[in-house]
Amino acid sequence: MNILFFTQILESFVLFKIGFLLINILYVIFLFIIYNQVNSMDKIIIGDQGVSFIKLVSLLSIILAASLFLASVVIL
Amino acid sequence: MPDIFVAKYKEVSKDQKRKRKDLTHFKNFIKRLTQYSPSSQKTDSNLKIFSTFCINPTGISFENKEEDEKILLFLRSHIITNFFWVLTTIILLLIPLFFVLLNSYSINPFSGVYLPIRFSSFFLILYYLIVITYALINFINWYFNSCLITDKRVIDINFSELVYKNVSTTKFDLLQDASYNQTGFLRSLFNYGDVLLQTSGSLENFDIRAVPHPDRVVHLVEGLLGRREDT
Repeated sequence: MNILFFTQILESFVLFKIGFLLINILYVIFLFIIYNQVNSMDKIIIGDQGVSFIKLVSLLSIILAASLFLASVVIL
Repeated sequence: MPDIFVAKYKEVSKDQKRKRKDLTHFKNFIKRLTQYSPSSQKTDSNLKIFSTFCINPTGISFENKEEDEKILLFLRSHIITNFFWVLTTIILLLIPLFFVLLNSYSINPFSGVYLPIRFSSFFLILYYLIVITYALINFINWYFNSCLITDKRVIDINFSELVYKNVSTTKFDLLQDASYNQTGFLRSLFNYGDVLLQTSGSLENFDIRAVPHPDRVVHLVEGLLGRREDT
């Protein structure tokens, strides 16, 4: 396969970029679902310190994924 | 007739004595259980992030907890049950590094494919995010699948696949029997197994999976069931 040809297709392929952004958006939504579920568990078991840790990790994942999405909108 | 009456009175008295003896036995059993905590005698009093078997956990509560209700036992699947997903995560995290290493030795399995740096870096970040999410989901599934045994009831929290959440509660009045199943090399080695709490009638049975010290859990539940029968 011609390397240059493949790269040109990849770069000019609008659907690829849209697909990438779509995956990113779905991923952020998915992370929000996780965060929501963890939040709801916080009401079932009260006072568990681990829940705060998991909430923090899921919140950081959301921030990372959202940043990636924004960065891909700007750069790609 | 008076003789029969006297005989009956004696029978009741014996029964009462037996009940008192059983109650004392149960109290001693609870006392021994709280004292006997081989894994960590001091740390078991408080619930930690990776606690899987905690007697008399302090600092936690649950929905609809009654004021005079006391949590006797907190259970979660044994930590060794996480081994496979942890191993998978480590392998997945190392795969890109493996390709970098191969590339440094001029062995590139994707030599025909060239991705611009901006594309590859985005893919790499997305890949690592997905791997981290995979680990997080597995951790959450393990973490929230827990069971609480109070002096009044059993609360089983089932949480899986992020969309399924089930909190089952049953009072000891409705429990019939407690048994455990511990088969397999790993289960024997790490001392964990499934505890089955059978409920009366058409109610759903409680299946607490892969909990550490299943014998002690069953012992505690049987003790609580025995106390219920006495009262």
